Amino acid sequence: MKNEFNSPIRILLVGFGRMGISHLSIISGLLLPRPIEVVVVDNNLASRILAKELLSQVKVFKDIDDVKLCSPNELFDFCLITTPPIQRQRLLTHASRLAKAVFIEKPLMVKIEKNQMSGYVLQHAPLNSKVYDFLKDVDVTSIRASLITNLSFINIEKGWRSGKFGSVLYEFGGHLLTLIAASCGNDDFLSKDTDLESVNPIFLDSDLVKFEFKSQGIEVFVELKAGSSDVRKASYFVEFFSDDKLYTYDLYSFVSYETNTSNSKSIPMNIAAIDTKTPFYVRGFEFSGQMEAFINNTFDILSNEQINNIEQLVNRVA
Amino acid sequence: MKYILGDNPFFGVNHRTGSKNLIDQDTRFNMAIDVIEHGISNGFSGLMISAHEEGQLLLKKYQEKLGPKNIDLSLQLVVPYPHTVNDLVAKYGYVGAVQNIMGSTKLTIVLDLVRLLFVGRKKQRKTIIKNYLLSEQKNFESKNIKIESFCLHNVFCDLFIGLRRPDLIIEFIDVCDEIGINPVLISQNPTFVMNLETNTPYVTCFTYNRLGYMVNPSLDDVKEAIIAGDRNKHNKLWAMQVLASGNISPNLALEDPFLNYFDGMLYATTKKNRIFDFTNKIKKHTITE
Repeated sequence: MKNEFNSPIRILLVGFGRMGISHLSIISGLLLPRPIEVVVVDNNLASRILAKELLSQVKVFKDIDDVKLCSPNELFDFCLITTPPIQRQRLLTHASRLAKAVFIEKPLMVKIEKNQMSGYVLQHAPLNSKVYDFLKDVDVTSIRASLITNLSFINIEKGWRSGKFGSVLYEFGGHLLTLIAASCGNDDFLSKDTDLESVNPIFLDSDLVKFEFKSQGIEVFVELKAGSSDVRKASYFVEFFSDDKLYTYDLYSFVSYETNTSNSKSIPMNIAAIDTKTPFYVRGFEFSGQMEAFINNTFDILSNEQINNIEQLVNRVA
Repeated sequence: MKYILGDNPFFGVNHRTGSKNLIDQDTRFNMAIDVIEHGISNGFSGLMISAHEEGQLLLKKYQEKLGPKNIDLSLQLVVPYPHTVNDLVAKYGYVGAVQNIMGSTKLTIVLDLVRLLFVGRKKQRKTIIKNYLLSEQKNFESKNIKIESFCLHNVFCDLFIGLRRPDLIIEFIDVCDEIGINPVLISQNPTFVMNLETNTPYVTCFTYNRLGYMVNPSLDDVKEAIIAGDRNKHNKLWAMQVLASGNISPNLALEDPFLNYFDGMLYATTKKNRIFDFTNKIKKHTITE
């Protein structure tokens, strides 16, 4: 008799690049000790060789068209699309036919629907929900948000990052917007009433982007800066302004300042003071949280409308 | 108990506040060398440092400043450095990244890949790992600076655990043994890593603090695994983030009797007066050599 717990979880991974490998490792680690069966699709020979070398008993294919189901009842449990952001629509159509749940790395370039999840990982940062609950009772009037990273896009000559999507805007813009939406305390932010006409893009180059927009009456100013030697890795910083207070959030701590006095500062919460742990960790609690949400079919924290609007906003800036 | 200095704050990495804006390199490095010098003269056994270019520059400066004083430094070298690998793959793709890291030509990488597929893959992998470790040894060692341990970076260690390839971690341990340098496995999933079946002893280095901050899967599970594994003294344990990124006072952290299960402890700071403070507090508590 087949033991349900011992039967393998079937994973289809489309795109065996860095994101594919790390996401597979996290989902596989979270599923331990359940057995897994992995099928990899990648049109790059070096990636297919690497997949065979790195994974035991993996089947690899060059194109998603080559993946056939034994029967319509034997769908993959999970499909992760972690290819560069081209051909997303075609891949998503195939993946939806082959798997019960589909994860799509950002930028999505498609509208997501039921049983589909976006790769906007910062929605799952552990402190977000605490910040969100705190700010629910605050009348936020404006937001300034920034991203700074040492990675530069200007001198990339080869691969998909040398093209349209190889910019700080596409790499980090959606991340920063999802972070704001998941922490600002307003369910409707960038949702149904979003006025995308108000977007004011100041697209400077692939390493520096600034833009402004308005949602739910909140004015938002965004700055994305790449190629900076000031930091060793990507750092996020969001400032929420109300009439008399400023709140800052950097994924690790949430700080409150009185704006009408010079020294008044308090730290309502920081990451060490909340319950941060995970059954399996590779590169950050948010990544583990994201894959847990995928496994548990709770998917994105933001609504599909918010995710789709954020993508539209980024495209409008570009 | 072995006390080891951590390098993260020298390079602006902070596990609670993320990556800080860096002050200029000269100032940072002078502060770092001060901390290292005072650490060594106050009972710290060496420095854990990541294998990146800035690390090399810092050690070059150390050699220039403290070499004439004959102050020797033992390194726990963390390899490979994932942000460098990540940035190189983003810029050049897999082949280009390997080419950069190993200093190889494209042809030799293609040949290596072919050999990996068809000729004794395990043996071939070990040769590649060995060549890489030897090249890092050459990069980081000098007259007064010697590598005591190669520490497999937690991103790679945990990646292999997730991919269900602990054999790759064991190959790393075997290669370290061949070279004659101690293997250390840094992990955020210690319950998986501390019980690998190996012929060579190794150290598991992981986040441990009484607050449970970043202790995965939970403080209770980790304590249970440590107690269960205590029969196997073949392997050692090092604790990092003992102060929970500044959320526990040194006194409170060091009072924890559970630290007696550990053989080593990491402590990181950019301020030399904190070294005195920390070592004074160590002396007050029950942790013994």
